[in-house]
Amino acid sequence: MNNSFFKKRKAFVSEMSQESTGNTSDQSLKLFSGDLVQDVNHFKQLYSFPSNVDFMLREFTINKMERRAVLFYIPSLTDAKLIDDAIIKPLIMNDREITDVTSAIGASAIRAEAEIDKAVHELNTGDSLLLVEGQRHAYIIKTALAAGRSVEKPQNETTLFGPKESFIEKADVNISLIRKKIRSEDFTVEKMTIGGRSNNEVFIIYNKELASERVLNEVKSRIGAISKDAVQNISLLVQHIEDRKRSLVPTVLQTERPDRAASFIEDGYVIVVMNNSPFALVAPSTFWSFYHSGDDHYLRFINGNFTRLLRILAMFITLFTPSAYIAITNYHMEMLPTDLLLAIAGAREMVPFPAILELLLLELSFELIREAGVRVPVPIGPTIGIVGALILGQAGVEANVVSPIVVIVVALSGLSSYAIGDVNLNYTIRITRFAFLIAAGLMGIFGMVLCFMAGLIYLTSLKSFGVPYLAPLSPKYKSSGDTVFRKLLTNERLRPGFTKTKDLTKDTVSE
Amino acid sequence: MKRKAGSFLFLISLILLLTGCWDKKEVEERSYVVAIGLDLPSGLDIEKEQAIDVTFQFSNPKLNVKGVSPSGGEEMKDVVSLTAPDLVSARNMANSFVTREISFTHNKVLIVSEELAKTEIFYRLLTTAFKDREIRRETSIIVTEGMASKFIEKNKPEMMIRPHRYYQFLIDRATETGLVPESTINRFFAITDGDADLFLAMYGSYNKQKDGFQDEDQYIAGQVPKKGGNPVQLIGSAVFKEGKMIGKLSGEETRITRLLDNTSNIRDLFSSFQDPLDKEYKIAVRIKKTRKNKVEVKLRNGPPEINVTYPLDMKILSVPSMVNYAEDIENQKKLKLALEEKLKENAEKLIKKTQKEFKTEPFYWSLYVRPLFSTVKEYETWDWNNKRYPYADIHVTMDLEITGFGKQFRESDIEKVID
Amino acid sequence: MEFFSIIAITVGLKSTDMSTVLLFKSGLNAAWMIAIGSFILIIPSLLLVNSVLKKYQCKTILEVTQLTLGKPIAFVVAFIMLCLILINTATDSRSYITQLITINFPNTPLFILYLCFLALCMWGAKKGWETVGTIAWTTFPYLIIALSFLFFLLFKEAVFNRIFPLFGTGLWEIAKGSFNFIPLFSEPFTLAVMYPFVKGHQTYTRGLYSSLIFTVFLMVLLYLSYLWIFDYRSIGKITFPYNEAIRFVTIGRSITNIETFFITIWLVGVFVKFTVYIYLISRIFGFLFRIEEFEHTIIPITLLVFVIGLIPENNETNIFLVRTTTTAYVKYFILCFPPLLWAAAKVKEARAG
Repeated sequence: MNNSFFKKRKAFVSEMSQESTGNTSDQSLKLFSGDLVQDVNHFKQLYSFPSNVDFMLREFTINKMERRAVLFYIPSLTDAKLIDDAIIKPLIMNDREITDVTSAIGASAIRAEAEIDKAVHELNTGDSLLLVEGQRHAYIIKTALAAGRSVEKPQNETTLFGPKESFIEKADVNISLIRKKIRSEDFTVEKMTIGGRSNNEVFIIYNKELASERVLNEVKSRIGAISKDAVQNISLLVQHIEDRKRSLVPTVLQTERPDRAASFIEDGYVIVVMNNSPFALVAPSTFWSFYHSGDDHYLRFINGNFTRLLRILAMFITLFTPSAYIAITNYHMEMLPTDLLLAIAGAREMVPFPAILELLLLELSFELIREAGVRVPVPIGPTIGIVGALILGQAGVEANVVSPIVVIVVALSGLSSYAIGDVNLNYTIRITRFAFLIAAGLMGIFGMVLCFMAGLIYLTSLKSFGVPYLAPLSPKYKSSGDTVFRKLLTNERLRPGFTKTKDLTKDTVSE
Repeated sequence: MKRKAGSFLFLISLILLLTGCWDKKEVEERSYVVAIGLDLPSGLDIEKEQAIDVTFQFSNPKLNVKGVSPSGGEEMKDVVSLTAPDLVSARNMANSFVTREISFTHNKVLIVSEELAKTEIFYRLLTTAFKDREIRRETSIIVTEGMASKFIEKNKPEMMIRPHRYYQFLIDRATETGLVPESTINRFFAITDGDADLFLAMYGSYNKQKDGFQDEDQYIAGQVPKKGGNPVQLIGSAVFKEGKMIGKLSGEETRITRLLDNTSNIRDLFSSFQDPLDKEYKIAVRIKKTRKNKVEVKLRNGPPEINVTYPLDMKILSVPSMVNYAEDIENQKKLKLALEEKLKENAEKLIKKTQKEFKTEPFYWSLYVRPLFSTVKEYETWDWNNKRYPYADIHVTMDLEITGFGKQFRESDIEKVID
Repeated sequence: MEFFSIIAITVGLKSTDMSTVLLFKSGLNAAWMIAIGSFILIIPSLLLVNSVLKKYQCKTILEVTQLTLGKPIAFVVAFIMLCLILINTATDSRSYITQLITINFPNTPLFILYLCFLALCMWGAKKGWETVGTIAWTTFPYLIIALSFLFFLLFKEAVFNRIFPLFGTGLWEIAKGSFNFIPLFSEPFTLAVMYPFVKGHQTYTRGLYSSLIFTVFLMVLLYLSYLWIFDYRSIGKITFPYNEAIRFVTIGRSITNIETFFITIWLVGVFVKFTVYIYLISRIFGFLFRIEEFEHTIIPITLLVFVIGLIPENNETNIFLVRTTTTAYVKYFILCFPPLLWAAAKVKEARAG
C-alpha cells in the first residue's frame, strides 16, 4: 500500500532524472585546437568581447618557455591579486626553465581540460583559463572569489548557549563552517549542477559511514530531475524536491545554523548546500526535526525539557484556543464555570457580530500586523506595535465592536505561535489554526475532533524521502528517544533508526 | 474535474459556516436558569390534571459588566412563574415572554414546596424530567416550607452576590457545617431506587416563626432568631421515603444523621453542650469526624442486631464556666464521659424516632447489610426497609477523643478578675 | 505494539456505549463478572485459532479457512462473517453517533454527523493498515491517561459498598449472561484477518493476550465505577452510562462540568475503532470476491454501512432488537468455528504427514 505508492513515485523520478542527464552526452565534443588565435577568437565571440566589459584576457609570453599564452578570466568573479601573484608573475618573471606549466603556477588548484564547454563552464564560475600555444588543452586555475557577506549571527534561529554563527551566501564558506565541526575523512561533499542557464551548483554533504544509501540516492535523483532553466538558491530548490508540493506541512528542513547541520550529519541525515543561500537543507526531515530547536540540547537537561514542554504547550494553545473558545461558548456552555460564562455573556451583550465572525476578524488583523511587522522598514518598526495594540485592543473594545475576551484569546494564540522556531512549521500552525476555527464553528467539539483526526491521519501517512513523518513515534524505530522530550546526553545512545544508518550507536566505536 | 468538486465543497461549507449550524447559539442568545422552583398549581386539582407551577430564576449577565450598577428593582424581573404540565414543557412555554432560549445547563438547585413533595406525583415528575439532557445529576434539591416561588423571590442574598453564587456557596457551606444534608438528585435516585433508606433533602423557609430560643441546632428552618440579612434560611431536612416526603428533622438531628452516615462528609461542626461540672454554662466544641463508623449487622432469626461504633474527635473551644479542663486530667475524664453520654443519648433518640415514626433509617446503613447476601433476590426478599429495621436492636458505642483545647488552654481565674 | 492498542481500543470502547445497558439488565450489580466470564469462555476458542494460525504462518484466517475446509465452505464462512460484521458496524456506529447527539448536539440531524464521521473513517481506512495502526498507537496513551483521570475523579464520588450483594442476580444468571455476551470479544477473531501483518507469531500471541487482559481489566473497572456511582437499580434506566458518569464528575468546586474534555477523548477512540472496522470489512469483502486492490472498495462499503445504519428509526429498536439478534448469531459462530477449523487442520495434517 504505502510501499507501492512510494515505489511508483521513485520509479517515476528516476526515469525523469535519466532523461535529463542523458542530454549532455549527445552534444559534439569541442576540443581546444592547438591554435591560439583560433581559440582566442572563439572565446572573444562567445563572451562578446570587447563590448562585454566583464571579460578580460591577458596575453603574454611565458618566460623561458618562449610560448605565447593567454589568460582568460572574469574580473567580477575572480581574485585579482591571486591572478597577479600566482599566475602571471611566476610565468612572466620566472628564471628557471619551464617544461611543465602546472609546476610553474603557484595557484592551489590547477588542472587540464580538453573540452571547450566544460572549460567555459568553469570560467563562468570564476576560475581562470590559461591557454598555451601549441597545447591542445587549457589549464583551469582556481581563483574564484565573489563578493558577499561575512559570517554573522543567525537571525531566525537564535539560541542562548549555542554558537552564534550562521551560513552565508558562499557555499565553500558554508561547507567550511560545517566541516570544522566534524573533522573526519568520512565527511563527503558531492557536487551537482542544475539549471540550464544559470548553472548553479548544489553541494550534497553527508557522512559516508553514517548516511543511508536510500535517502542519498533519492536526494540525488530528485535534484537531478529538476529541469528548470534557473534554480537560484536553496529556497527555490526545496520547492522542487520536496515530497508533496501542495501540502500544508513542510517535509524538508531549512536551517541557517551550521551547528545544527553538523548535528544532523552526525545522525545520518543528508545536507544540501548551495551558493547564494544562507540556508542548508536537511533530508529526510521528520516532524521532530521541525519541532526541536538547536537550543534544547545546549541547555541543561531540565532546562531543555522545560523549554520543550513550553513549546508543545504553546503549540496546542495556538492551535486550539480560538477554536476551543468558539466550540465551548457556542455549543458546550456547560463546560464553563458559571461566573466566566456570565462574564462572557455580559461582555457580548453589546457586540454586533456572532462570536465566530468576531474571532475571524481579530485573527485576520493579527496576522496582518504580523506580516506587516516582518516587512516593515526598521526605522518605523516600533510604531507597528503601538498602532496594533491601540487599534485592536483598546479602541475595538471601547467601541464594543469586539469583546475583551476575544482579544485575550487572539493575543494568547498569536503570542504562543512565536514559540515555534522553525518558519515553515510556524506557517503550518498558523494556517491550521484557521482550519480548526472553521471546523469548530461548524460542529463544535465534534468538528474539532474531526479536524484533529484528519490532521493526524494525514501526518502519519506522510513520508519525507521515504521516512515516515512521525518517526520514531509511530512506526517504532530504535532511536534516541528524542521526540517530545529529550534525555540526558549520556543516555542518548542510539542514532535515529529511521535514517537507516549503518552505525546505530553513538558511543565511541571501540577498536 | 477535481478542482471543481473541491471548490464546490468549499462553497457549501462556507454557506454552512455563515448560516450557523443547528446547534450553534451564541452565548448571549441563551438565558441561564439558576434555580428552578416547583409548586402545586394554584387553583388546579392535581388529581384531575397533571400540572405544576414552575418558577425560573435567571441570572442576569448585565450585572457582570463593569460600569453597570445593579439596581434593586432589576432582580425582580429575573424570576418568572408559570403553570405547565411538567418541567420540560415549561421550558418552551416560558418562551412566550422570555426572549431567549432557556438553558438549564448551569442550574444548581431544584426547589420544591413541601406540599408538592408530599404528593406522589413529585417522584414521577422528577424521574421523567431527568430525561432532558440538560438536567444534571448533581443539582441539589431543596424543600421549602411555603411556596417555592416565594422562596426564590424573597431570596435576597447579602452583599448583592449573584444568585448562582449564592446557591453554590450556600450549598457548599451548609453541607460543611452539617446543618443540612447533601441532597443531590443522584443520591435521590440511588436511594429511592434502592428502596432501603430514607432520603434527606435540604429544608428551607422564608417565614419567621417566633418559637423562642433553643440550642443552636434544634431549629428547623424558619425558627432561627435573627435580624437582618437574608430572610431565607436553610436548616434541617425533609425526610423522603420512597419518593414522598413524610416528615422533617431539625438541624441537630440532621447533624447526627450525617455523622452516623458514612457516605457524607462534614468538615466544620460547631456545637454546644452543657458543662458537666457547672450546669449553668455550656461548652462550645468543634467536632470532626476523621474515621469512619463501624456498622455491624448481625442476622438472627428475629430482628437483626446492629452495633454501631461512632468515632468522633472534639476540640474544646470555649468554656465560659472557667473550669480548668486542660490541665486537670480528672476533669477531662469527667468531661469525656459526660459528652459521650450526651452524644449517645442524642443518637439513640434519633434512631428510635426513625424506627417509630419513619420506619426506615436515613443513615444509608443498607450498604452494610448488603455484603451479607450473595444475590440481589435474597437481599430484596429480606426487605431491610419495611420488615427488619423497625424492629432491629441497635447499640451505639461512642468513641470520643478530645484532641485539643484551642489557643488558650486556661481560662482566667474569674474570681480574681471580679473583685 | 500497535496490535495491542487496536484491540484495546476496539473492545474497550464497548464499555462506554449502550451495550452496557444490556449487560446491566441481565447482571444487575454483577455485570462486571459477566465481562470476566465471557472472557474466560472465549479463551479456548482463541487458543484454538491461535494454534491453527501458527501452523500456517503468513496467511490470514480467511486463507487458512480456505486451505483447510475447502473453497465453498470458506466462501460461506467468510460471507457469514462479512454480513455479521457489516450489520454490527452499522448498528454500532449509529448507536455511538446517537449517543453523541442526544447528550451534546440535540438539534443537529443524525444524517450530517454520521456522514462526516464515516467520511473521516473512510479516509483513514484508505490510507492503509500501517496508518491505522500508527494512529491507534499514538492516541492510545492519551486515552489511557484520560481514563485514569476519569477513574480518579469517579472514585471520589463512589460508594464502594454498592457492589454488594456480590453475585447480583445469582450465579446461574451470571453464567447465562456470560454466554450471551461472548460477542463482546468478537474482535480478536476478525482481527485474525490481519495476522500476516504482525511481525511474528510471538508478537501476535503476546499482543493478543496481554491486550485482552488489559482490556478486560479496564472494562471491569469501568462497569464497577458505574455501579459505585449510580447503584444497580438506577443504571438500568440510564441510556448512556458513560455520558452520565462524565457529567457527574467535578474538579473542585468551580470547574464543575468538564464532560467535554472526556467526550473529545472518547470521540478520538471511536474514530479509531470504526476506521479499523471499515478496513476489516473491505478486506474480507476483497477476499470473498477475489479483489486484490480492496482499497478501492472502501468507499462503497462505507456508503453501505451508512445506509444500513440509517434504517432503524430510533436507537432503541436498534439496540434492543437488531443487536440482540446479531449477537445471538455471532455467539454461535465464535463458539463453533474455531474448533471446526482446528479439527480440519489436524485432519489435513494427519492426511499429509
